[in-house]
Amino acid sequence: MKKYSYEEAYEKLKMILNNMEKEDISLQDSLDLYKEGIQLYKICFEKLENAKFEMIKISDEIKDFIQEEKNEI
Amino acid sequence: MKLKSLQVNQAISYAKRLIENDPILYNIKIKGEISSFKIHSSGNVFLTLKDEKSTLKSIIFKSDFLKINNDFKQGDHIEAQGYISIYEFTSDLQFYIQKIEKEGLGELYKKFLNLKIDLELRGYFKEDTKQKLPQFPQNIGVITSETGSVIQDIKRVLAHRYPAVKLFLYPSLVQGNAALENLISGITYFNKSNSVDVIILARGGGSIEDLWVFNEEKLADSIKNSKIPIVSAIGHETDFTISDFVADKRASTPTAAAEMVVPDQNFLKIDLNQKIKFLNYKISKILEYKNQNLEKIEKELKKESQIKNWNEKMLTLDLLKENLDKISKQKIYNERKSLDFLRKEMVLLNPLNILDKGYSILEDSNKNKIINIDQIKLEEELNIRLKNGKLKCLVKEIDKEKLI
Repeated sequence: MKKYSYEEAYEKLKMILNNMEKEDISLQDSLDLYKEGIQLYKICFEKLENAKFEMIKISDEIKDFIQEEKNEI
Repeated sequence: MKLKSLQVNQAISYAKRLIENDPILYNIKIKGEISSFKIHSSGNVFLTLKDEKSTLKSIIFKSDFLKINNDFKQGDHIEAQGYISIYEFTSDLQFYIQKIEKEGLGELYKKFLNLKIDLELRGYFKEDTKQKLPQFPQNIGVITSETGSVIQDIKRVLAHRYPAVKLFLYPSLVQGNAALENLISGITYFNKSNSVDVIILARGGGSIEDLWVFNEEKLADSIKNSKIPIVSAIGHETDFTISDFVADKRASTPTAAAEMVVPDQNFLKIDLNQKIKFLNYKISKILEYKNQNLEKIEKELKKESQIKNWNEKMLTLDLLKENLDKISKQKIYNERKSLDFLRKEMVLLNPLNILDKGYSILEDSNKNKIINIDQIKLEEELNIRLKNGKLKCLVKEIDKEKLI
């Protein structure tokens, strides 16, 4: 399965729920959607469960680098 | 008693010590006019304060000057806070300034209002040009002081509420002369590196002068031109700056800004669980429905085996129908016959038909039918109706005799 961001996985899950509301859905399609929905749910949930907050400080070197680029323009 | 002579420096040092230990001179606020003002190449600032009677040599060290808002020039009236000491090399009495406030806060406020009106007219605050905040950001840029409680508050909220983000801190001064350049560089940096989904511009509370850099037009331009949405969280809930108005969203405090840029993971988990419950419900409904359909088809199949039987029943029905036809035809014939009979009876009973046969009808002058001789008086006028006319007659004689 492709690598989803939380947003992509969540939106896809919502779409699947919509598609399963259709009356003329075939048995095979509904089972496929169901399987995909479960996988997307797992992706979302794991992203929340395993998230580790991280802070990165922009160093002076990087600041300077950008500054120089700005000056060149 | 003979005085012991001191070295020059010893005398000056002693005087310096006395002054520096004085509780008033140690922390003093002095107001006056700037009579000279010079920024040395080292970054230290030399100025002279004066009033009508005195002048006072003053110095602001670079580190302090960076924290001071606003530009100053000769002729400005200021209120400065610092300590008084002696510069040993020249023996000059000097005022070491740490904070400066321009006199007349009203002027700053006026400047703020004028810029606000100007930018408003130029459409800087229009809601429809503002960018939407992302629903699920992955990277968040924060431009604020790297020390102090603001960044700690933001960190705490993000880590707790939605830890699935990376916070990129761009350390910046948030007050004083160098802050403007710093803040703008931060916005430029995040836009150039395109590394974050949303930017928080934050600072803790302070006076209008402390917050002044957030009222600068250049910063407003930078916020306006940012391709990344910016949340402005400057000061306390009651503080409003130009940055707050230009930014895509204003948060009342840095904590509120952090809460604004990320969803609450607890709500997300509840929502996900509801979605999965619904998914399960949906699939079981679909399976149930498909199963019912199968049962229906099965029943239909069973019915088919009864079709032979059904054909026989159709034959019987045809016979019945034929019989019904016969019976109904007979009934119609009978009805018609009795109807003819009735019609004949009716012809016989019609009085007009009686006149046809030679009878007449006798009536008195009031058209009452005469059927009894006792109804008639002598010399009375009577009417006789015939088939084709009427007679008026006079009674000449009454003979009560039975006809038969």
